Amino acid sequence: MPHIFRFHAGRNNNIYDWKTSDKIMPADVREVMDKTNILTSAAGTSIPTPIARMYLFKTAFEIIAAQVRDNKVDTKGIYAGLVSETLDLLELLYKCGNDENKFRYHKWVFDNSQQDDKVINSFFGDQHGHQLLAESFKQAVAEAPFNNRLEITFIYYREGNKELLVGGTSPFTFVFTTPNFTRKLWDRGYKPIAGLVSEDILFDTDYKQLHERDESFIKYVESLVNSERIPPSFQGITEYVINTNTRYHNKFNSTLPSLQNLQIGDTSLTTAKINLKQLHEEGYKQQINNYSDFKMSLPEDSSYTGSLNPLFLLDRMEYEGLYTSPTNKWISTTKVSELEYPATTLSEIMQRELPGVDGISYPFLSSFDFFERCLVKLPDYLLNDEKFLTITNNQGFALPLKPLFFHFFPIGKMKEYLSVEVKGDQVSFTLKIPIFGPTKAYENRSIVYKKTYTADTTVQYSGIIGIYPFTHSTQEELLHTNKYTVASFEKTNVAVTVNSIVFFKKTGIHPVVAPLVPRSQSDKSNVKSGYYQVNESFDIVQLNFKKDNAALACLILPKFKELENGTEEYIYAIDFGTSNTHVEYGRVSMDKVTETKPFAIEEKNMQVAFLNKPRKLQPNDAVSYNDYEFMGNTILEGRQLTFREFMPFQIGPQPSAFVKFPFRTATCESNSFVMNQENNKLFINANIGFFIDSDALTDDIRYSTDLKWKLENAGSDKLNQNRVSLFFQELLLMIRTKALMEQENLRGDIKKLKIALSFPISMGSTLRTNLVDLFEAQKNEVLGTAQPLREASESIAPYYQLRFANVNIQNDSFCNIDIGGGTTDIVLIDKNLENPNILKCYCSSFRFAGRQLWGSGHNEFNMQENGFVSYYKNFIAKNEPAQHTKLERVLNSNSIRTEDVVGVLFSKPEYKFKEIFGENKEFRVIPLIHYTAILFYISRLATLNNVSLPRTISFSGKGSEYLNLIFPTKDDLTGYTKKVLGIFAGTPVRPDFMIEKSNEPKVITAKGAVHFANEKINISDNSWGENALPGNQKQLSITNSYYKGFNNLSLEGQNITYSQLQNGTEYFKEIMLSLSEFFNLLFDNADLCRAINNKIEIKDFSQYKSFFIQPNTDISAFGTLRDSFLAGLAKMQPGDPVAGSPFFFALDYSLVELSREISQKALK
Amino acid sequence: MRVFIFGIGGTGSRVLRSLTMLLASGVKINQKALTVIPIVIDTDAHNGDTSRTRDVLRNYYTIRKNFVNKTVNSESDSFFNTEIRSFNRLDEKAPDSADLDVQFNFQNQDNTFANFINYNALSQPNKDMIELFYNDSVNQFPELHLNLSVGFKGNPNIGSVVFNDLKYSQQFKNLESSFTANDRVFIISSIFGGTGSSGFPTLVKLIRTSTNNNLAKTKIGAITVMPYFNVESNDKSAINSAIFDTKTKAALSFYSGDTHISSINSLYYIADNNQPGSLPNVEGGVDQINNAHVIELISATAIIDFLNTDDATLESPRCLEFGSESDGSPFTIAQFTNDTKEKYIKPLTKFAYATKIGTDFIPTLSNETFYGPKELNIDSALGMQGEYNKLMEFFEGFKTWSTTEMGSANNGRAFNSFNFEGSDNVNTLVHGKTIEAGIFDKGLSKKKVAAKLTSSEVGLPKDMAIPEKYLTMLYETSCYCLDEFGQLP
Repeated sequence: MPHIFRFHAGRNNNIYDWKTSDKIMPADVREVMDKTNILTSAAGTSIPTPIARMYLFKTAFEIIAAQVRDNKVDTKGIYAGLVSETLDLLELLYKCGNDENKFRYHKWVFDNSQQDDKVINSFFGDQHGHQLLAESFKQAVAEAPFNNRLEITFIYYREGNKELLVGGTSPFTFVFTTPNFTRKLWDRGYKPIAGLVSEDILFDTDYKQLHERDESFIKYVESLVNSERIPPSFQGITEYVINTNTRYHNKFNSTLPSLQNLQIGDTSLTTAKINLKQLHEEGYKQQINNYSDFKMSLPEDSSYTGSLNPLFLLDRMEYEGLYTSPTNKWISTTKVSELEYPATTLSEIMQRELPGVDGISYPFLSSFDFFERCLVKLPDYLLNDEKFLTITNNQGFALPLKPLFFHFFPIGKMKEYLSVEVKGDQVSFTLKIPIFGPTKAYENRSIVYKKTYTADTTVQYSGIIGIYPFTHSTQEELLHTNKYTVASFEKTNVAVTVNSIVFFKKTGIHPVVAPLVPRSQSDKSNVKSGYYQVNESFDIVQLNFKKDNAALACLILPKFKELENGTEEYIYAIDFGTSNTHVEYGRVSMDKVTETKPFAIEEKNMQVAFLNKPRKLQPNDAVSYNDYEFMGNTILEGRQLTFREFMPFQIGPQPSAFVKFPFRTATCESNSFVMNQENNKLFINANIGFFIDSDALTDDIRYSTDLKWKLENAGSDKLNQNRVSLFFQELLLMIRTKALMEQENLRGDIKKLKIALSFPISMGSTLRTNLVDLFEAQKNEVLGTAQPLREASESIAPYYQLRFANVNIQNDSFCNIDIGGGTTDIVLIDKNLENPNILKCYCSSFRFAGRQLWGSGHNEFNMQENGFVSYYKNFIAKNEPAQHTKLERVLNSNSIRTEDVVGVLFSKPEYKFKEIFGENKEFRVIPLIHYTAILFYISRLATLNNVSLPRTISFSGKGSEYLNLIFPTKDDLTGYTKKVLGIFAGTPVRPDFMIEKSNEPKVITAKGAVHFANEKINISDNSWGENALPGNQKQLSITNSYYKGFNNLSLEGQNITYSQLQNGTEYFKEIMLSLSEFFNLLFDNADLCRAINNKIEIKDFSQYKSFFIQPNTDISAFGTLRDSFLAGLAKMQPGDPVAGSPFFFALDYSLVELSREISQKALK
Repeated sequence: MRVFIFGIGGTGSRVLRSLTMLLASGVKINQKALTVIPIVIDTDAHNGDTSRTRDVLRNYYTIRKNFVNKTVNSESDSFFNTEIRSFNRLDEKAPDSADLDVQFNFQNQDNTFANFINYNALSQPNKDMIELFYNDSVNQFPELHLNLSVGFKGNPNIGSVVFNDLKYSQQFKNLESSFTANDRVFIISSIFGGTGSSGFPTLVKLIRTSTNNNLAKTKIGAITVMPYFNVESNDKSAINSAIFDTKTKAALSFYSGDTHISSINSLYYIADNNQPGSLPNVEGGVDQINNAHVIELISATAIIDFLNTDDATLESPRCLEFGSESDGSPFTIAQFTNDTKEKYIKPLTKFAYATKIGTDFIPTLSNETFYGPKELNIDSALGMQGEYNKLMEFFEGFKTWSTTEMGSANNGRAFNSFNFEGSDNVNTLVHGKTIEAGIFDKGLSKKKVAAKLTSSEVGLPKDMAIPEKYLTMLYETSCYCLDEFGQLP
């Protein structure tokens, strides 16, 4: 055997000396083993052509094909590496080649098919080097298979803004890589590129041959080499695939997945007319959906409706199973890093790429999609588990979950998936996600994840939120009630504050947009409030915090009271008083109001919910109750804000309520409310000032009172309209909610809900229309399509209540005196001899009421003008220094109306305001004159209408409570009234004269209004009382009637204007005459004066006459009565017809002045 | 007939050196009026191998001019029988003073490949195209930024571009203009390096696409030298012999499909897989002087083989391989076939005797007749000190080439051929066979050689020029020694 000096094994072995032999073909060298596994470019340069690298890959496939055939693959060798890199690039393109975020393509063509040297030599440029380059390319493309034309599509890989040339297309191997790609990938900090098989990093030194790859990809490569009319240049790779198939036939069992052409713009990416393809995304996803063992097993009522079952994957989880395909198993080293998957929205999650196999987007979730990084601890209150969903008893934290959790797992089933364990500072959550898949189906598996929050990952919340109304409905007719105000109160001097509150539907992915409107912030108490108006229903509240610029969040899940419309008819009557407002309501059964009750909110039907669990409280009176108002010490000051700006928890006489009806007619307002008329949102800008009396003592908070009359002379004043509107709105919300929250068999039907609103007949029609319009607007908004408003007369309304209480009053003459803060309303009813079934009814109303006693005259804010107040200041400082201190701010204020100050002083027994009438009994003179003037008016009215004096007089209105200051007993009141009426009428009153006096006179009007509203009276046709009343009730024939005040009653019937009452006119004199008459009758009756002195303990009642009528003077020319009259007249429009009773103009300020005299005298 | 022999790169140079030794030994070539025109092509102008070959060629030229009769040709029985001319002396009238130039000076610049192709002036897509094919690292294995002053560092993809510049060189233009129908071309290159493997196909392309039809259609012989030695592993070096095989495989695959290479009339393949030792790793430059290797010697015989082949045989392209009787490491003369021994080893053995005699014996044979001033005047270096020295230098070079270098264990496969040691006989000159010496018969003793020298010198015509007489005396004595020696081992 000769020894032949050759490189390869050779075929001809009979060579001696130089002898003709075989040409060395590629096949001859394939068996030669390589001595290196360094995949450097050096190997790529061994071919004398500029496009050597293309050939290198060709050679690599040829060599490895032979090695596969002979089962002698040098798996670490350089050619194995080149083959692996080619397959890596094909795999990456197959995975996501059409993803513009990952790839860019550029077609490059060197075309010498025209063989025009002049053109082709300048292909690269005109410089010598360029021409040499062109020359060498010319030579290169002259060889097969190029046919003088080389077309390469450059493939660029992208990551974010970075881009890198990976390689190009090749007519030998479809694609090949640049010698620079893997180095630059590393140098430029690209992330490792994952392949189809999990945790397989492409372009690394762990070479993978075809059979070690994803089976669908194997089929794809096979389909490439099986392309029709594939040119012979692909022989190497074709042989490689065929040999691999022969040796690893079982790896070729998969079916070819759905594919789509790779695109460069409008054209397909091809090499040698063969389309390169990408896995059809949907097809691949479907494969994962079929084969993965990590699909989340979602409950049937899950909100997730995607066609693909999302996977649940934990970082490096130790669970076995198929991951994306029958060949790709989950590898427990696969990282699922939150940093790499910052997406939070569902659509982003649906789009993101699976860990370990990037380039494939398929929905998956991990622990960080559900859990927040930090746990938010509530301040020193526990979460109210009756109102909010809790996961454990005595839960002192909010849920550290993301809303997305509930997209997959319904809120109601949370506890099936999540449990918690609290140990000291440590709170551990265990999440158990059931998963399923084809190979693990029998195991009924769950992935369990435990998340523990320690002190380091816990933050402290220093606030509270409240939601109003805490109801929800799915009924069509109640959908409009799903509008909410969410209030946030918190401390400002803490590290962690609420950044925003976001509301979600139960799907967990649909936020309900509601911007935060800050309302108040107190630097003194370091608390602030903010409000969100949420105009649709929500199920999840996410509190977002910022701590050291890092975002934190937690969830609150409200258990709203589900509302259904009831069947019962309710009537709510609002007595919108000048000083106080009252609401009564009654249920109508068989056309009758069963009973009226003051508006109240008990614990069982609380309308508002705060996070805090109530504290059990048992005060000294041994009444135990749940104290919702205590929210812990941390937000003690914040609690004040909730009372002031938001809804009371409860309303009523119970100890757990700080508000009771009737309440002060006032609004509490933010600065922004006053500054900008567009800021007119309930709670957000202003609300009913339930806390006015308490606040008067402490804070300089903006309240508005006198709402009833604010629009009197300025009907289009937007600010005042806003005030009134918001007041009505809040009341209506409370009414609506209450009616719908009644116990099941008594639940109100919102469509039948009737609202009655009472007005004094003295109110001008313009103002009244204004108020009605504002009210109607709110009523329509809050109640939807409800019953029309029932407008009731404040004068007549009490009658209905009294008749309800005592049906007999309709059988005799009757009078009700309703003394309010601003008006006194009189109704006078007489038997009707002509028609016993129709009662004649005279209604009258005048602006002579509480204000004439408790105001301060011209300057309504100067409380020094009021003798009671100035005396009281001295009194309380002297007798109760502690109370004085408490009230100091109120008593020194110049921004609170005097009558409101008196309201505060009357509001609590401990203020001992009434005691000044005991200490200085002379003060009793003033209310006595006030009352007597009203009686004088009644007697004149009776005379004027030819009505006999009433047999019964009843009282209503808050103002009438002053009668208690004067008359120790009801008998005294009865006796005095009877006597005075007799004096004024000139004839004795009937012996069976009686007084009906209620302990709660204020509520009578509202109660009456309820009954009134139940009557089938059509108020719009102005024919009140003309229709038959049901049962034994008599009809009312109502007439508005005033006694203007002329001494000569024959003048009363004349239609005159205010200008005719000017000083010196006949009418003026007539009024002055009747005033003289009144005072003379009162003070000149020695019998009466003696009785007063005696009963009411006045030293000498008669002496006070001189205050009004000085001896030997003409009151038309001088004195307080004249002055007061003219001042009142000046406020009227001269051209307007006289309506009401100018008689009382003269008494407008005079009683207050008298109080000042008495006070000054006493204090001297 | 003229044959233009292109020795590309380091291997090309070294094979040319071996060829020179063969031609010096008087190997016969069946071509009348053969002129060998060696051309060294190397971008690395300072390559040690190249300059050594250039020197030995210059010496050959000088020796033949002074010691050999003008009538002697490649068919004659003589040392230095074949005429070697340099391509700058193609014109017979070229002045003798002009230096013998064997090197193409087409590319000898201190420049990076990037600058060479004016990379910076390329458009971005074309720059990307360059990035697609060339390593643009500046550190390890640079290609784009490779400095061409030290060759292509085993990057034929660079060489294939750069070598196109050959076409624009004056020398190539001269070649094209002077090439005749009687001329042939032979190209020596290695396939695993940079210069050879890129220069070879480019040169073939330039020849086959030449506007001179004689050149385009000429008979081309070529030898592709495949890996036959290792270089020391050096992480920092661009030359990594571990990758030689890999590169060879890639290049062979490419060659097989290259139409121009396929048109080569005689393509000789050679390689040696027996490579246990390793040569120092030197990246070109003056330090790149590698030991001669038996593979280079065999490669040189391919040129003789090509020249001995008639045109008819060359009509259709063919490939040739070389076989010996047996394998062996170290390799010895005995392992060559008789045919090889007859054609190449015998002349080399003759030349070895001449070398030994000329350098070791003659200077000491002052008592012999031919030594004296009236005869050859050895003391005075035949009266031509310079030329005599060149011959001695050549002999010394032959010694080194054949023993120290080819016999080096670092070569992987050492070739044990001759032994120039010993002062009083040449009995052990040929490795593998010793002329037995007895008590009376001392074999080929110095004395016996001296006697033969004398008789030879005396027998030569009186009017023969002294240098010619000297070389002829040596030739005849060498023939005598070989006869005495008998069959080669």
